[in-house]
This record gives sequence, C-alpha cells and structure tokens, in this order.
Amino acid sequence: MALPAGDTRLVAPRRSARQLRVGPPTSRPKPHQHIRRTRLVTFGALAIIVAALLLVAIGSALVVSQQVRLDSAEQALAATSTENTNLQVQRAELASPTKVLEVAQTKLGMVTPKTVTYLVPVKIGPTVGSTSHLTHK
Amino acid sequence: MTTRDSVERRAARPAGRNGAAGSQVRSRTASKPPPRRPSTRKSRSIPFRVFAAVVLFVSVCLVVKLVQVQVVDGATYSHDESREVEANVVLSASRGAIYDRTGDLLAASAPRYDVIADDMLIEGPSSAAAALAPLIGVGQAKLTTELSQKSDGYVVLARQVSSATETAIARLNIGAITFAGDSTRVAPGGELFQPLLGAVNAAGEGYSSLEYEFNNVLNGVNGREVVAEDPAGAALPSAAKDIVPAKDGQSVVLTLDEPLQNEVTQDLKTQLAATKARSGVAVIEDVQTGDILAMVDLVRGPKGVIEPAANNLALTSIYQPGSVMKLATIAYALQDHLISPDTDFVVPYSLSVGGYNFQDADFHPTEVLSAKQILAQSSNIGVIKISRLLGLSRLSEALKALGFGQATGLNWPGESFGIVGTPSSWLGSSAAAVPIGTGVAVTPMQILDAYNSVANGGVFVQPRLVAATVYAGGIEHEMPLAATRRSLKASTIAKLVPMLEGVVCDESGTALLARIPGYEVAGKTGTAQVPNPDGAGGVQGDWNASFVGFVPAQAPKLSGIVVLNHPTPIYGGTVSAPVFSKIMQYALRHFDIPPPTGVSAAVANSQPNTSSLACTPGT
Repeated sequence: MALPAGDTRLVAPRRSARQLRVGPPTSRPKPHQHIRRTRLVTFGALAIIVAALLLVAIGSALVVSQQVRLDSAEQALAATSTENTNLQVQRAELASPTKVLEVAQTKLGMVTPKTVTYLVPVKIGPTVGSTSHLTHK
Repeated sequence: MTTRDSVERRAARPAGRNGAAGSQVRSRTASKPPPRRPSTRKSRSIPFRVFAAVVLFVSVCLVVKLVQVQVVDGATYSHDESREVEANVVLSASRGAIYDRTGDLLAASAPRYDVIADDMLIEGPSSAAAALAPLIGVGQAKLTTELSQKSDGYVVLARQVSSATETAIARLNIGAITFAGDSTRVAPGGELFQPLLGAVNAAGEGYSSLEYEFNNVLNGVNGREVVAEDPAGAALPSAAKDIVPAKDGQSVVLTLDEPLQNEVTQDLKTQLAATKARSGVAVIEDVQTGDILAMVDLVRGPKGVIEPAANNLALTSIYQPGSVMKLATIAYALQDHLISPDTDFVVPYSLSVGGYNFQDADFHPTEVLSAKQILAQSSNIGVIKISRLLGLSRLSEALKALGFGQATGLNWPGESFGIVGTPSSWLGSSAAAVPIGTGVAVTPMQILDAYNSVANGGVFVQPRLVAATVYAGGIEHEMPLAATRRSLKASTIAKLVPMLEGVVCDESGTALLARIPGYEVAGKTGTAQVPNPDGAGGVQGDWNASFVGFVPAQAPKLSGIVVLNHPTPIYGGTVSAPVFSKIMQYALRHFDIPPPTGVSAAVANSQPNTSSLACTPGT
C-alpha cells in the first residue's frame, strides 16, 4: 500500500539486509563496549606481565639470598673441617708417648725406676680371694 | 564524563523516550538520525594513534634488538659473559692420614697460611709490626723495615703459620694483610716414625718411604667447578655449575704400635749412646700375622746426636750378618736328617778353606761339641763342618727357603734384596764363609723373617706394614694377609727351637743377656766385621752386632731383631741381646702375653741375669 507523499509516520526506516538479521542483541558488542573490553584485556595482559616480572624478580632475589646462605654455610663447614683437623693433630700431639713422657718427667716429676719387679704367675692353687674368705670364716 | 560527552549524549537521545507512544512516533518521524560517534572518536584518536604508533615502533625496535641480542648474537654474548664472569676453580682433595694400629694419628695434612702484606697500602707500619711480631715470631725491627719499604705491594711476612695464628692475626684487623692458604704434612708424634713415614713435598706428593709407596692411595683426586666472580676475583652469589666433586684420599692404618715404637726407640737410643754405636736397627714382628709392630732406625748424626735415620735401614741397608745366618745350615741339616741336636763333631779352633783361615771367636783347644752346643756357642768351625755335610746346593736352597736374597714383600721404596749369590757364583772360600754369615749381605728384615718362620712353626709369612686403608667416608678396607708357605718341616722346628733356646739358656750360650724373667727366649747372636770395600777382609774395629729371636719360645707370639753398627764392645750377645730383652719385656706386658703355663714360679728382677729362674728351656 502506497502512502501519500510526505507521510512518513508509519514508514519504517530503511535497513540493509544485514540490519534485518535476527539474532540476540548482545551478539555484536557496541563500539564503546568493544573499546572497554580491549582496554580491559590490555590492562589485564599488562598486569599479568608485570606480575610475572615481579615474580621472576622475587624468585631471583630468593635464589640469590639462598645462594648467599649456602655459600656462608659452605664456608662455615670448611672452617669447621679445618678446625677439626687442627684439633685432631693437637690431640695426637698431646697423646703421643714422647709428649706424655716429657710432661710426666718435666712437669709432674716422674722418675723412671731403675728396676722393675714382675710377678710371674704361679701354679694353680688357692687364690688370694679364697684364702681371705677362709680366714674371715 | 566530560561536559561535551553529556551534551552529545543528550542530543543523541531519542526525543520521545520520555513522552507518550504517540509523541514517540512523532518524535521518530520528526527527529534526525543521531550524529555518528566515529567522527568524534576519529578526532580524539589521532594523538592516541600517533602515540600508539610510536610505542609500537619503539617496541618493535626493542623486539628486533632483543632478537638480535638473544638469538642472532646470543651465543657470542653468552660466551663473552662466561669468559668475563666465570672462573674455573679447582676443588682440592685432601691427602689421607696415617694411623697406627690403635687409631693414633701419625701423620696428617693440616692447613697452613702464608701471611702477606701490601706495603703500599698498610697504615702505621710500626704499630702493625709491633702487633704482628709476637704472633709470627719475627723481630719487630725487621717487620717494620719490611712493611715500610713501599716496594711492590707484596711482602711475605711469614710462611706456613697455623690456623690459630692466622685467626689471631685476622683479629688484629690490620688493613692490607692477607693470607694465602697452603697445606703441610704434620707428624704429631715428632720424629718417632720419621724413617717409616717419609716426607711430602710442597706439591703434596710423597717422595720417600710410606708417603711415597702409598702416594696413590693417600692422594685424592682434585675436583673442579665453574663459579661466577667479579673482575676483582670476589665470588658472586650464584650457584656453581659443572661441579666435579673432589675425591679425598684414603687414610692408611699401619700395623705399627706407637707406644711400643716409642719404647723401642728409647731403649735403642740408650744403647747407642752407651755403646757409642754409629747406627742401630730394631724391629718387632707379630709371629703369626707378620705384622710389624715396631721398626726403629737410628743413626748418630754428624755432631754425635742420635737421631732418626734418613731412610728405613731395616729394609734398605744390607750388612754382613755373621752367625745369625747359621740358622740356614743347621735347619736344613736337621731337616735332611744329617744331624740331630746331639750329633757330636770334633771342632778345632781354626780351619783352612779355599785358601782362607777360618776360626772361632775365642780360642779353644780341639774339642767335641754337639750340634746344639755348636749353635749355642756359635762355633764357626762346627757350622762349617755341618755345612760340608749339607753341601752348597742344599745350603743355597735353605737360604732361598728362608727368604734370603729376595724381596720381603713389603714393596718398600729402595728395598735391597741383599747379596747372597748361588753356588755357581760362590768362591772356594764361600763354602765356609756363607754358612757362618760372611761373604753375604742381607737386610735386618730378611734375618727377622727367617727366624719368624721358625717361630711360626716353619711357615714363612710375609711381613706386613699396612693393616687397612680407610675411605673418606670411614669405610675400612682391611689388607689381606699375604699367602704363607712352608719353609721348614714341623719336625725340624721341634728340634731347632730347643737348640735356639740353648743359645740363651745354656750357661755356655752366647746370648745370656737376652733372657727375660719368667719367659723362655729362643734366638741367635751374630757378630760380623764390616767388609773392607777396598779388598779382602774387614774394616779394623768396625763390627755389626746382632741378636734375633722370639718369645715365648714354646708358644711364640713376638719375634724381633736388634742390630748395632760399630758398637763397643762388639759382640751381639753383649750389646744387642740386652736391648732385645728390654724391648720384649715391655712388649710382652704391653700385649698381655702371659708366660706359658708350667713355667716356674718366680719373682724376678727385670735386669737380665743368668739365674736359672729366668731361663727354663723346654729341653
């Protein structure tokens, strides 16, 4: 039905075939939503990158600090090992017969006896213990 | 939201939205299409796009550079960085220690430090010298001079100072003092084991005696690693890589006993001083295992001071042994049933053989002596007569069976095999000389091994000086005992041991001073002139005196030998036998070896004597 000229009240605006497609209204974001989403993604990506870099930096710092502790522990171990060796040598020096004899004779006044009496085992017989036991009876 | 935005949005809002349906239709028909936003964005995005383009360009440039650095030239940069920062560090393996049989430390590598000063940087040389002098044992004036010379910035103030000294110096906080780490071999027991242990050079390699013989065992294998360093050489805090850990050397446990070694050293030193001998050797051995329990080598130094020998004389020094060699002739004559202990021989004072005149030590008229008496009195002529029955070939076999002319099995550096020869190389007089221990040369250790085989029931056992090796983790690897072999028949030993006891116990024996109260001793004396290097005969007044034996004679546990060079008096029975007695008395107590049951009860004095209480041969 043709409308009178100039009467455009009931005439729908002309749309392209694409505009006439039927679909959910949200399937095609509006331009400002698209920009917002792009910005969000960009900032998100940046945040992730920064966070990742931060994590790497923290990790590196941790590794370095632990390495310092490890080096310190290794140095302490080496020092202790050295001290252990020194103490073993010192102990052996103090325990050597030469040193003991020297200390005994020079500091403690030990005199080596000129004669030594040894008790040679006797033939099996009454022991001192059994003799003592009988005496007490 | 900006004012401009709100105005535009209001303008773009449909007019009929707030009115009725009719007005809505009117407004639709009357209103114009809303202005397009792109025109507005375009005007705003120009600087943004320019900025974005710049950022993009810079980013692309950075990425390109990054790719160039990381990928294209990455290997080159990595290599350069490694060369600048990484350093190969050698991880030094520590040299193993040496212990005695009870685990007492005999030798170990201890850290030492060189004290180095930078004389260009040091402040207050005088005060620094005053603080350092008492610590490093250098005069203060000398130190002040060295620290003030301002030469090349490198002055070694002291070498090989201990860790304690290094710590004390470090606590002084003197600037420009540094330390260079080093290591040295220390012997806590002093000179007690010096001829046996040997020495280690500055590079940490053993070059004599046990340190040389077991160098491969004691020395570890150095490791390496790559570490990061700054240009000044300071380590950077990063993990080392390419680590090859150092493998520490094994420790060596000897069969020696430190207290016994000390006792033997003291007794031998006393006798060297008393007899004015030039040198002395004493060795004590475990009869069954062949373990050497003590091995002492002493010499009289240029200034007359008695000191440890430069090397192990018991294995490297040969000498003309004299009568201790009579064992071979007597043993094989018994084994071949040519004689018995009671076989009589007519023995003159002297006898001519091969153009040479042989005689006994002391003059005596021609007399009849049994084989046992011949051995007890050490009659040269009697033994020569017995050797004639035996023959040179069997005598040579006897010497070989008892280990003469061969290595002892210790693989000692510079060990001498001795000079014994064979019947084909012996001269005419050798038929008489060799049986009585002249015309041959042997080491004291070979003599001891021969008598040890008699003590061990005729079973020859190789001597052993190393009992075990210990890995760095503490795992001990015991050295196996050497294979044994029979050198003499048991029936021969049964006859021979009482004959050797007679040397000590018979009143006419030559080793009365070897007696040990409460114990039976078997052994043999030896006295021989040192051969004249310029010709026949011996050096006037230069004699070697020996005694070799074992205790308890009927159940032998310990064997030993004492050899003195150039003593006064000259006889082995006089100078060496008493040392043997004294050493063995200590050793028997030390190792808790009781006298065999059935020995007479006695309370005896320790001084060797000739009383019957001190000598009760098994007969």
